[in-house]
Amino acid sequence: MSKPKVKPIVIGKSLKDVASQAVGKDGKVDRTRVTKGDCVK
Amino acid sequence: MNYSFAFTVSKIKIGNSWILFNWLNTQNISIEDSSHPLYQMLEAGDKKVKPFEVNGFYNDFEYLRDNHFFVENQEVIRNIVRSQYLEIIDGKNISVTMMPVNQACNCRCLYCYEDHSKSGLMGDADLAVFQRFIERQDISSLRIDYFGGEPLLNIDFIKKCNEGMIALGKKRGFSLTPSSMTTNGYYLTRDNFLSLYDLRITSFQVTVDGDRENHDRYRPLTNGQGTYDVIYKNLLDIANTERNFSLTLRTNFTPKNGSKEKRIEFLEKIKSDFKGDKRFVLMPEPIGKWKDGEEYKDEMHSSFSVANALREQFQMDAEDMGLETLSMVLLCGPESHFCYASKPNDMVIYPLDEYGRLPIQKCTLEVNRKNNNVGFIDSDGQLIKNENWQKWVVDNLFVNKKCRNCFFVLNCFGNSCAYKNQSRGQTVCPREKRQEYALISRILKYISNHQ
Repeated sequence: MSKPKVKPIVIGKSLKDVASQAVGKDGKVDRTRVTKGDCVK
Repeated sequence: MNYSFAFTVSKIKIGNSWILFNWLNTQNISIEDSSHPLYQMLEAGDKKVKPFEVNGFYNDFEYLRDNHFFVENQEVIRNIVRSQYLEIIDGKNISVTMMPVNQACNCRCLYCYEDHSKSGLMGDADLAVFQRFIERQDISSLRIDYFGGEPLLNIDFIKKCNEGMIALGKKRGFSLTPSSMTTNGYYLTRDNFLSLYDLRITSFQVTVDGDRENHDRYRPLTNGQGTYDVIYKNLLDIANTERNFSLTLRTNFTPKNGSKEKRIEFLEKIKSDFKGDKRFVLMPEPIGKWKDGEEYKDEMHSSFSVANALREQFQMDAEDMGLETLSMVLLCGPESHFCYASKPNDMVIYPLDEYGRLPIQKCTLEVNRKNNNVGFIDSDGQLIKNENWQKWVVDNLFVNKKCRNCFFVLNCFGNSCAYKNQSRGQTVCPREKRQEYALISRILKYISNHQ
């Protein structure tokens, strides 16, 4: 009798993949899209 | 060879599935088959991981190892974190927050903590000193963020400054990183926006406090007139351009304008008017004790925990509607909660003082605190730091033991708020760290909504 197949891990999309506004053309997170100065404590 | 789960990996069980989320790179996997060796390790709470095969293939293990879910030694992760930290604080990249009108403003927002009587327009002389300062630096990039007060009261300076720095960058071999501006939006007309955009000012933060009635009560002009209609029209006009800008739409809310009915009404209006435009990113913030005074004390949140829960609910409501929220954008990468006041390559610059110097501060919230005055740029462009500078600029990465194995360390580098670290004499964690599982659930939902 053959052993039942084990389901492999499911790789999800990374947060960076979907939050396109945050990622620059070089694939790095584009910090310039976040304004500075109004830090909230 | 034995491996361990990297300390930046959160493990969470949702229903019958295990989820691993790696804060180092925002990658995530799920596993639902209880006969999978990884599932069994997670169920057993194993700390050590031995290489495993599934169906005769090594792929799952390799993926998890190659993407830093598993590490032979946690120092590998700490070295990645430190290398990203060093890149961010590298003196080759300077970041300044420019105060072109000091704290002067055309609005009198009920809750504002600033002293608008402290005014002063930056002009050619200020720019000349700033230029001399930059000429003294050996930099590869310069970032300028405009803040106030209301920076657009001095738009001429802003344009000259960016124009000057673009030209200087060409001459000296550095790039002017796209700038940002925090503005009340009253003067952010289409024409002004386009002229700023052409000079690389591409990110903005504008506040709309709910509906017209609420916004006009919270954010009137100095003469008491409302600002909602003008600001909202400006936003719609900007949305009608095809420029690749980013605009953080901030909403300061109280239990009154943040009630479920009010916030859904507000979000539906934004969704409808801006048609899901992803250039607009929402930022709801509960009004806290930002200033002393009687006139608004009944309006602010009485409890931090209630305010924080409401903020999270506001964000989730927006995300469920397919709208972008700043919190998700921030969590995409390193330094989401890294205080700029703590960085050695970051400073706030004020208009020239009576001695012809540009005063320097570190924090834009503690504007009226003496120890926030950390020095000045003299008329020759030389940065002169005083004894306060080192109170703000502290390398606190992994200094505290609790940071050494903290999943969130890449986001704050042990310095989420330099002011709090100083005043409390200890490393203060960002509030998000206390919400590890809730945050992952939200992130996964956000990813699923944006597939």
